[in-house]
Formats: sequence, structure tokens, C-alpha cells
Amino acid sequence: MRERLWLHTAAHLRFYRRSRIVLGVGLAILGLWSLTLLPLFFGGSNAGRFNQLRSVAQQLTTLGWLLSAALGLYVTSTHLRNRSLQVILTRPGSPQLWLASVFASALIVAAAMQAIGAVVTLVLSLAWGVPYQIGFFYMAVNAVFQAAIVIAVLTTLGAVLHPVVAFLVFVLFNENTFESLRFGVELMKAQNHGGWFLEGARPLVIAIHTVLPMQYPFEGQTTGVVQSMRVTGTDWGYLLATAVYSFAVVAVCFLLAEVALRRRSFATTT
Amino acid sequence: MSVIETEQLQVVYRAGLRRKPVQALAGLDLRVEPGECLGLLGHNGAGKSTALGCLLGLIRPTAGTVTILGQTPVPGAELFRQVGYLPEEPTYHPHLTVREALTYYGRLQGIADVDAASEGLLERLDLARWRDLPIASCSKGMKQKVGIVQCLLHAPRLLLLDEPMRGLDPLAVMAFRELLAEANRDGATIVMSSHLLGEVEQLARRVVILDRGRLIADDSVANLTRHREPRYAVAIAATDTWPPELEAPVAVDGEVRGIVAPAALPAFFDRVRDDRLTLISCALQRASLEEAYMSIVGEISHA
Repeated sequence: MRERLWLHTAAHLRFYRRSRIVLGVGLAILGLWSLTLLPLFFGGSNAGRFNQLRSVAQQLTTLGWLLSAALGLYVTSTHLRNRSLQVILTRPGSPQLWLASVFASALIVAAAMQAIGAVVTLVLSLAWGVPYQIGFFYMAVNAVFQAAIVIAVLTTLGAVLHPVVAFLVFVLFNENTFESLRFGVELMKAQNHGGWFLEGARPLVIAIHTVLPMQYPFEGQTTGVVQSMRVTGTDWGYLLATAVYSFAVVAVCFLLAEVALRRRSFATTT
Repeated sequence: MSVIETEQLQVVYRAGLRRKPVQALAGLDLRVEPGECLGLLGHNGAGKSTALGCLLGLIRPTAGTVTILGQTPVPGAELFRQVGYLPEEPTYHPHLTVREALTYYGRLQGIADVDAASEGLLERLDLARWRDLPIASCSKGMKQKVGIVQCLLHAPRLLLLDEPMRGLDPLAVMAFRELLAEANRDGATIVMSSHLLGEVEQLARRVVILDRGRLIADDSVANLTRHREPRYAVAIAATDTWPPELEAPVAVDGEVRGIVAPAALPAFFDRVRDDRLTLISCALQRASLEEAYMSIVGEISHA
């Protein structure tokens, strides 16, 4: 089983490496990132180096997150749409194993991107003579867990919907949208507006907001790490909680994607 | 024990915005015994690929049962160690090279040294020199050859082939035909769906014809062609008056060639003798599978 899981994962990793779309998106993000960050590398006082390093680390974390987030969706929908899964499913090895390899490969890329970001930060801290704070490492690890949540949600949507529709659903119907809606609904209720429609919509909005996975769990509680790059015992606790939360989201999404795959027909219809 | 057994197999699709039901298979009963080579024929939309999809567990039947090698097929089942499948569309992993794709597929089948196992097949199909080419850059025929190799790599007991000759050049067709004949001689059961009736006639010993999801004929190739009315292909030396018994006469190279129905043969010979015509040849012409197919499907359409 382990060998088959690795065979699938290695095939996905090759797919990412050789995909022109992944390369193009990667280069575009890298280009934009370079334009934003290049000025930081020139000039600046020694006192400002720490802030520069923190900014670089944050940007690298976001860059890695962006690059890896949609990979699961991309590989799933590509194989479902061009029917190359037929060749896999007519060989020994459960479809769940293939699905697990999709999650695994995207997570490997996410972890690799964050590892590269952490190394770049470390090298820059040595070059600039800024003491390396453990907060940089903390941010990178946290970003891997956050990426895992997005990868899982997008992969699951990709197993059910057309990739473009899946992406739009993710962008439009995420936790932030429903948080804003919930805030608006609560505000209208407090001001006694809305009537019966509000009464009906409020529980629905609250229910959906509660069920939707958080993209940035415990973000509010760990702002101190981002500011100072110092990590307290409580922060490590939040990191552990983030890990447990992202594991739970990945597990639920995996089960949903597995059900979606099981309900699909994988052949031409006539 | 039958290699393939289906009972009252039904598949109904929901198509379009109104989810209108479309009956792709309507109670297919099929048995295929070990070592058989079966041709699955039918017009577009007759249900051939759907039937193959059900045999592979890729399509869930709406009703009925299907077993292959004594088990119900589900995606990724262990029984696929003994099954080789050649899909209609050459949908292999386009980002992999031929060698990488075959290694991937072969290793999933449990083959330790895929290079060694595929070497002979690649050589015979003239694909060895292209093994480092990405599949995305391969021609349609090359992709089909990749499909053939991945399908035969693990010497399966059952081969399910959907339009196997599609996109192949004549030499590759010949090589593949030989490979299939060898596999069949070694005991492999073959089920092939094809529109190339000449190929089916050369390989299959039994033919099943589907029409709108129903089985309309299931017989040996010999019986199907024998039951059609035999005709005689005749040639006489060129003459001004052509015998009226001669159907579809054509003048070619100083000869008049045509077809004579068995009932008209005595009258034709009388005329040849009386008019002093020169008979060059007269041979019994057995109906081809294509003619048998057209006749069976035509009868059903008229009914």
C-alpha cells in the first residue's frame, strides 16, 4: 500500500513540476512578489532590518501558501476531466489511496514552499546580522497547516464541481463571507430591522458560518507572534490546536471527496 | 466458471438539463467462457462502451449483476491484477514520458522490473525508440501503442479492449493482432469492442451485437456468416449481351464480373452454354461479418 501511495504521489509531483500552468502561475506570483519586496533589499538602516526580515518572511509565507493552495484541485479535476483515472482505477489499489496521494502531494509542495521560505529567512537573518527568532519558524509551520485546510477544501470541491466553479464557490462562499454576513445580520437584528426574512436567514447564516472551515484558525490569538516573532508557551499551544484543527478539516474533506468519487462514473457513457 | 457473467444488466443515464432518462443497457445477459475471443459490435450509442465500463466497475449498473473472474468489479479491486484494459480514448498521464507512464502503471500491477517486462512489447510495436518522449508529444497511434503495452504488460487472464485498432498504422495493427492471438493461445480471454468488422472477423470466434442497449445477436462468427444466403462470384469473357442473372455486373480487363444468386445459378449456366459465353471463374462467396452485421441490424431496424 505504501509503495502504491508513493507511486501516485510521485506521479502528481511530476505533474506539478511539468505543468505549464503551475509554472506560469508560480512565475507570475514570484514576479509580483519580487516587485513588492525588491526595494526592501536596497538601503535601510540596521534598526529597520528586523522589520524588513519580518516582512520578507510574511511575504514568503503567503507566496508558498498561494502556490500550493489550488494544486489538489488542479490535479483532481485534470485527471477526472481527461479520464486518465480510468487507467488507475482498473488496476489494484483503492481509489481512496489515489485521493490520499492527491492530498499528500499538495501538502508536500506546501511544506517544501514553506521550508524554502524558512531557509531564505534564515539566510537573510545571517546576512543582515539580525538574530533569528523562532517566530519565523512558527509562521512557516502555521502556514503549512493553513495551506492544508485550503488544499483539502479545494480538492473536495474539485471532486464534485468543474474547477472554475469550484474555485468561485471557494472564493465566494468562504468563512470570511459568512462572517461578514453574520455580522450584518446580527447588526440588523440589534437595530430591529429585517422582520421575518431576517429571523429566517439568521440561523441559516450562523449555521453555515459555524460549519465552514476556518482558513486562519486562531489568527486573532497569535497576532503577538507576527508582531514580535517571539513565541510563548501559549502560542505553541495554539499551533498544536491549529494542527489538530487542520487535521480534522483534512479528514472530513477527505471523506466527502471519497464519497463524491465513489458516486462518479469514470467511463464514457455510450 | 465463466470469466464474465452479466445478468439483466441495466444502465440508465440522466441526460440534459431535464435529467431525461436514457437507457444505455436494457437487460444484458452475457457469458464469456475462459479462452474465448469475443467481438462486441453495435452502432454508436448501442451500449458497447457502457457494457465494458460495467465489466470494469467504472460504471455502476442501475440494475442487474456483473461478475468478472468470479468477483463483482469495483474500482481498484485486486482482481485487476488479472485484467488488462485498453480504453477507447488514449487518456494516459500526458506529463509522463512513455517509460515513466509504463513504469507507473506496471508498478501498480506489482511488476518489479517494468523495463524488462515492457522491452519486448515496445520493440514489437516499434515504440522502443520513443520511450523517452512525453506522452503529451506522442501521436494518436503512439498513445494507442502505449495503451497496448500497459494492457499486456502483466500478461492478464482477461483482456477488455475498447476500439483496440484505433489510430494504429497497418504494421502496428498486424503486430497487435499477433500479440492478441498469442495471448489468446496462452489462455487469455479477450473481449473487444470495435467498429472495424474485418479486424473482429480475423480475431474473434464469437460475436455479440448490441442495438440500443439490447442484445440482438450472439453467435459464432462462422454461424453468423454461414446463415446469410451464399452467393456466387462469377466472371465471364467480355460480351455485348450480359446475362440477366448477373447482379451488379461490371466490365473489368476484358471480363464481366458479377454476383449470381444460388437459385439463378442453373439458369445462368444454361445461358452461358446456349450463348456460347466463356466462363472464367465461379466461386462460392461466403458473407462477410460486415454483411452479416448489416443484415442483422437492418432486420432489427425494419422490425
